[in-house]
Amino acid sequence: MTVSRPLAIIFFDMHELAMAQAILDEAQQQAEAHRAHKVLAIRLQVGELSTAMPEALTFSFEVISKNTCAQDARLDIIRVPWRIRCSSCQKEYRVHDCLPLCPECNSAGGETISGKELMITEMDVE
Amino acid sequence: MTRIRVIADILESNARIAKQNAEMFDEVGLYVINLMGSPGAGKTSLLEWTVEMLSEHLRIGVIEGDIQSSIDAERISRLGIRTVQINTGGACHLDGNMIRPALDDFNLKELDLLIVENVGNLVCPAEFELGEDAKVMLLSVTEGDDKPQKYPLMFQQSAVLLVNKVDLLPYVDCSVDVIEERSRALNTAIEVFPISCKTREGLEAWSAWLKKHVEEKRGGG
Repeated sequence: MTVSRPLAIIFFDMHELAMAQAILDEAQQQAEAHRAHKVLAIRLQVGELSTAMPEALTFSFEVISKNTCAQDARLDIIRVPWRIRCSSCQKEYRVHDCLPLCPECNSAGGETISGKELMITEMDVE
Repeated sequence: MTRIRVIADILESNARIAKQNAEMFDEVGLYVINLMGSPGAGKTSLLEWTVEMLSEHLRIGVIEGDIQSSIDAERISRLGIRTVQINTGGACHLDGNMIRPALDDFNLKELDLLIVENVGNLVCPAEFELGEDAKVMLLSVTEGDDKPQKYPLMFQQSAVLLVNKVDLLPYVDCSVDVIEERSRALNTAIEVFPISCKTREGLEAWSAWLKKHVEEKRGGG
């Protein structure tokens, strides 16, 4: 059995910082459009194929949102499973261990139908 | 409290800039590749050979992305090729916006092929579009044949996979067939070229592929 344990974030890659900035920009725009003065929560979908690490994203967001209307906002991150439509038998299945092998016909590969998401779906503001 | 439905793609602003870049390239019929791979995979050596083989037929420009230093840009400009260095100052990838100022340093109309060497990394560059025509990935056999499973997004996004250092195959536990099989599972359309920048094996096939695509775009542009 393998136990997988995400590493505590001591180093974080700068690409999460770029993503956190885009999240903050969007949150500020939405807050302004809805005449809100505070962002309480931001719900995000992050696909399994995305290289964004939730912990690094949360940490980056905390750092850059200081002194903005989103500084206490909670990031609710939902991981979206990587799913494929088999190129041979069209069965849709979830990919395990990052190697798409169809459980029905054993063919490799197909069209990715989910798992690349990196998006904001909802926000709570007041 | 109010709940707002948003649905906003986080990378949309980069995608928009990348699209503008792509329009600039299309307007002048310039073919652009985004070259990605680990540090030490041989990206700059590949570039040197590619330039040597194609510079007689094509007008080539190079953008070098590195966290710091201009060692790579100096290597390429020695070949008489216009090369612009971008230092990302810590950032692990290039994005659509970062290459903008570098594009101003070229006369794009006078180029047939622009090669952008991304920061050495198998993770982040896969997420950020530059406006390129093709992502080309370089993997060396010393890195192992498990890489497609470990970095699936990179393999999914790449049009071409170059497997470098095949001259070292007798000394490493790595199979090019396994790399190819696993890469195709992620991306059925991926073109795979086993190469060696040391012995020059396979470089003809790669440069022929590149030349063909450059000419196709120039013809249509």
